[in-house]
Amino acid sequence: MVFSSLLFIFAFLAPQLLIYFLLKDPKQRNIVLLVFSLVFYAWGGPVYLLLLVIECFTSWFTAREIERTEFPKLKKGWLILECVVMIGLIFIFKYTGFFAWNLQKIFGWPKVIPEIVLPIGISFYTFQLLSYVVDVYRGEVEAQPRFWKVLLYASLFHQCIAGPIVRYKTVADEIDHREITTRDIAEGVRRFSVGLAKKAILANGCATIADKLAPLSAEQMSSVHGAGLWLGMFAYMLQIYLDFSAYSDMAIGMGRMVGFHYLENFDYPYTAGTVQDFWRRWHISLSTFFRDYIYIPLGGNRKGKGRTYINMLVVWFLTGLWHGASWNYILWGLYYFVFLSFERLFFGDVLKRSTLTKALGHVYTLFVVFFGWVLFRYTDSKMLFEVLKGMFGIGHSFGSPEAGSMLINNIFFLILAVVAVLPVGKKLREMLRKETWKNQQLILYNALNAIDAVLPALLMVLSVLALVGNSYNPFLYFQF
Amino acid sequence: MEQETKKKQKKRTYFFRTLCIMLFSAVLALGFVLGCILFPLRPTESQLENRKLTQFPKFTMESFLSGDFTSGISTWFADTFPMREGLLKAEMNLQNLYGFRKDSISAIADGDDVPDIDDILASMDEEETVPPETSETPETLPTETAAETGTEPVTETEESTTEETQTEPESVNGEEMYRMNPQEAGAVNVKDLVGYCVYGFNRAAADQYAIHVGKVAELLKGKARVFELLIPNNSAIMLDDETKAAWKLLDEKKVIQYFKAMTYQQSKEVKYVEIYDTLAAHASEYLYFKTDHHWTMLGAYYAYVCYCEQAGITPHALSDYTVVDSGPFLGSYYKTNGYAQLQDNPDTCIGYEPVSTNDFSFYDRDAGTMRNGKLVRNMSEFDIALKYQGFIYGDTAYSEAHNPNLSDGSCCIVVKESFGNCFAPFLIDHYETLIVIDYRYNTDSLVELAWKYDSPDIIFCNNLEAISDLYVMEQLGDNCR
Repeated sequence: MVFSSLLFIFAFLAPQLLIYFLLKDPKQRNIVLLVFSLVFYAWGGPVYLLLLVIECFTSWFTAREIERTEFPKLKKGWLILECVVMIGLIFIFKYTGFFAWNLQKIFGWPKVIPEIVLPIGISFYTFQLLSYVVDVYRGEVEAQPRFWKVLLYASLFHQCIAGPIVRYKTVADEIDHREITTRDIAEGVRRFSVGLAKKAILANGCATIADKLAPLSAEQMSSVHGAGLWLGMFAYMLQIYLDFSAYSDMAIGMGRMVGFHYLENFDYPYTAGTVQDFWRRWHISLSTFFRDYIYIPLGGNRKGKGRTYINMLVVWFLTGLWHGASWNYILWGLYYFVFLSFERLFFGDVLKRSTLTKALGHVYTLFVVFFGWVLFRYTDSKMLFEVLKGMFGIGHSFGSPEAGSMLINNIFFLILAVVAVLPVGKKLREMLRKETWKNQQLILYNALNAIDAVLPALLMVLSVLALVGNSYNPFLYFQF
Repeated sequence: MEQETKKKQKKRTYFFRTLCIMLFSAVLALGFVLGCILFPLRPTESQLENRKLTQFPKFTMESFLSGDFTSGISTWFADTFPMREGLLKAEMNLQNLYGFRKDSISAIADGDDVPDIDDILASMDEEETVPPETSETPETLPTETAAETGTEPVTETEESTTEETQTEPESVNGEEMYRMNPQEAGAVNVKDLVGYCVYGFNRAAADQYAIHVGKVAELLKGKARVFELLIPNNSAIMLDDETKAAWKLLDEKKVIQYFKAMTYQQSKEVKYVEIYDTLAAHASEYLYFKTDHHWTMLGAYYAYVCYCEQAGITPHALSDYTVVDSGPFLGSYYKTNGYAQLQDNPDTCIGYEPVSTNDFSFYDRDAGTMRNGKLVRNMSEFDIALKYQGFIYGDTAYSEAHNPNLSDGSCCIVVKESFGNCFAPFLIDHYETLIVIDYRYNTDSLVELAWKYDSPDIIFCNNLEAISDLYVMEQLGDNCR
C-alpha cells in the first residue's frame, strides 16, 4: 500500500484515525497503531511480515540482553549477534542476486542467479532496529521491555517502508507518553496534505515529463534528443526530491496527528551551496545514520587525513550500495565521495567566501547533483553512456521539438514545481505571519490563518483528482 | 489591553486550527463513504477511456500470499472510484492549465525507412514491372508466389503502436448500444488545437498485409474481384509541408506505393483504389476529425467515389443522402491521448444515411446472435466521446445489410478496421448484399464466405496506421484463408 493511493487515504487512514481518536487509553491507541501497521505492511505480501517480526524479535531480545548483562564482552557479543543477523538478512534479501551476478561475470559461477524478491522497506526498518540496539549498547537509550512496542516502533506505518529512518530515542518517550494538541493535529494535517499534493500532483507530473524525454527503455533511446534529455533529467531532478520529500512530509504529518514528533528528513537540498551542504539537507536521517554508526566509529576525522578519506570512502560506498544492488548506485556514492573530497581538499571554503563564490557554489552544486541523478536513474551502463553522450549532442541531435513543446505545454507546472522545491512558500508564509502580527494587522493575520485552515482540504481534493486516473504510482524510494 | 488581544487571537487561532481539522476530516469522511460504503456507485467501465475498469480480484491463497490479491484490491479501489469520469474530466481540465497547450508535439515520426519501390520491382522476374500508378489494373495472371520470388516478409518485430480493448454493451435511454473500442492512435501531436497522427512505417507489417491481400486475390482468382483501398492518415492530407518536415513525417504516398508494389508482387489480381490525390484535392474540406484519429464520413465519401470509378459503378451525389447530425464529438485524441485542450475545438459528427436502406444486422458477441440496427445512427443522445460508434455500431466482427431494391445477387464484402465503419454504408446502394468484416474480431474464413456468393467484390479498406502492427496483421491473416 502506498500513501498516495485512494485506498490508503480513504479506506485505511480514515478509519485508523477515527478508531484512534475514539479510544482514550494510550495502550489501546498503541494497539490500534500496531494492528493497522501490521495490516499496512502485510498488504504488500504477508509472507514478509514474518521477516519484519523476526528482525524485531532479534533486536528486542539482543537489546534486552545487552542491558541486562554486566559483562562488556557479553554486551559486545550480543551487539555482534544483532549486527550479523540484521546485516545478514539484508544481504540475503537485497544483495544476493547482485553478488551472484558479479561472481558469475568473473568466475562463471554460479550458473543460476537466485531471484529473491526484495521485501518492502527492509533497508529502512533494518537500519532503525540496528540504531536501536546500538543506542542501547552505547547507553544512550533504555531497552524496551515489551516486544510488541519494539514491533510497533519498527512497523509503524508512517515510516516503516520508506523512511525517515526514525531513531528509537526520538520516539522512545512518545511510544508511552504522547500528548496530542489541536496544534499538533492541525500541523499534522497540513503537513500530510502538502506531502500528498507534492507527490500526487507535482512528482507524478514531473515523472510524466521525465519518462517521456529521458526514457528508461532501450527501445526509446533511438528517438531521444540532447535538449529533451536535459529537460527530462531536470524534471527527474525535481521528481526525485518532490517524491521522496513528499513521503517524509506525509510520514511526519501522520505522526504529528497522533502525537509523534519525527525529525525532519529534508531541508531544501537544492538550495545547498556545496555538495557537503547538500548532504546535510538531503535524506538527513540516512546521512546521520552513516555518520553516527559508521563514520564516527571508524574514527571519523580524528585519525589523520589519510584515514579520514578512507572512512569517507567506506561511508560513500555503503551509501551507494544502500540505495540499490547495482553498480550505478555504487558509482553514484563514489561520485559524491570524489566531490566531497575535492571540497575538503581544495575549494570547499572558497565557495563560502563572497557573494559571488556563494552563487558559483550553488550553480556548481546543482550541476553535481544533476549529473548525480543521471548516474542514479540509469542502472544499465550502456543506457547511461548513451544518455550522457546524447546530452552533449553526441550520437543524437540536440534540438528537440518534443522538448520545446513539452516545455511550453508545462511551463506553469514546471515553475510551480521549482517553487515547491525552494523555501519560497515557507518563507513567504512565515514573513507574512510575522509582519501582520507585529503590526497588529489582525484581519490580514486571520486571513492567513483562514488560508492555512482551508488549504489542506483543497490540496486533498486536488490530489484525489490527480490520483483517480493514476491507479498505480509507487514512491521512488520504495525500491530501496 | 494587549493581553486581551492576545487572548482573543488565541481563541481565533484555535478556531482556525479546529476548522482545518474539520475540513480535512470532512474530505476523509466523504471519501470513506464514497469509496467504502456506496459500492453500487462504483462504475464498471469508463466511457472516457473506452475500457472496462478493473474488477475485484478473485481470492486464492496463492494470490493472497504473493500480495497479488491485495494489490488487485488497491487497483480496483482506485480504478472504480465513484464519480470517476467526472473526476477524470476535472483533472484533464486542471492539466490544461499547466502551460500553453495550443500545440503539443509528443513525438517525431520514427519507423522503418520506406524502401524504394524501383528496387522491389527490379527484383521481380517479370518483364512487366510497372505497378498500377493509376487505377489501371494489370490483366496478367499471377505466375509466382512470395516464396518463389524470394520476397518473404521481413520478420523483425516491432513494438505495437495500436491497442485494442473491448467493452461491454451499454444502454442510453433504453437503447442498447453495442460497441467495441476503436483502434487507438499511437503517437499524436497537436497543432492549432487539431490532433494529428504521427505515423511510423512498419515494413514487416506492410509485407504481411500485402501477402494476406494477395493470397485472397489468388485464392479467389476468377471468382471475385479484390480491391485494395489504403487510407492515409490525417497528418498526410491536412498538414502543410513545413510541419510535415518539422515532424519528420513520412511521405505516405510513397508508403502507399510500397504497399501497392508489394501487393502486386503477391498477386496481379488486386485492383488498387487510389484515394490519396482525391483526398489531397479536397484537403480544405472536413475530411478528418480534429479530436479523433478517424476520417469523417465526408472523407469516406470521396473514397467511395474513387472506389465506384474503379469498380465501374455510378456513385451517388452527396446531396442524395439524408444528413444525420449527431452533434459535437470529442474523439480518441481527447479521451485516450489526453489532449484536454481539444475540448476547445470539438468536432461535429455528421453521417449520411444510405439511399436504399439504413437497416442492417450485426453479430452481437454477448448474445451470440445477429441483431438488427441502423447503418448510420443519430448519436445526439450519446456521450460526446462515443459519436463515432454511430457508424455500423462500431467495430463488430460481422455485419450484413440487404438492399431491398436489388435482386441481382450482387455482393460486396468489406474487410476493414474502424476506418471502414463510415465507408461501408455507402456501398449498400449498389449491391444486393453488403457484408462487413472486422478482421480483428472475425475468425471465419473470408474465402469460404466469398464462395457463398456469385462474383462478390471484396474491398480491403484500411488505414495505414491501423495496419502498422504485426499482431493486427496476424489477425488479418487468420481471416485470409
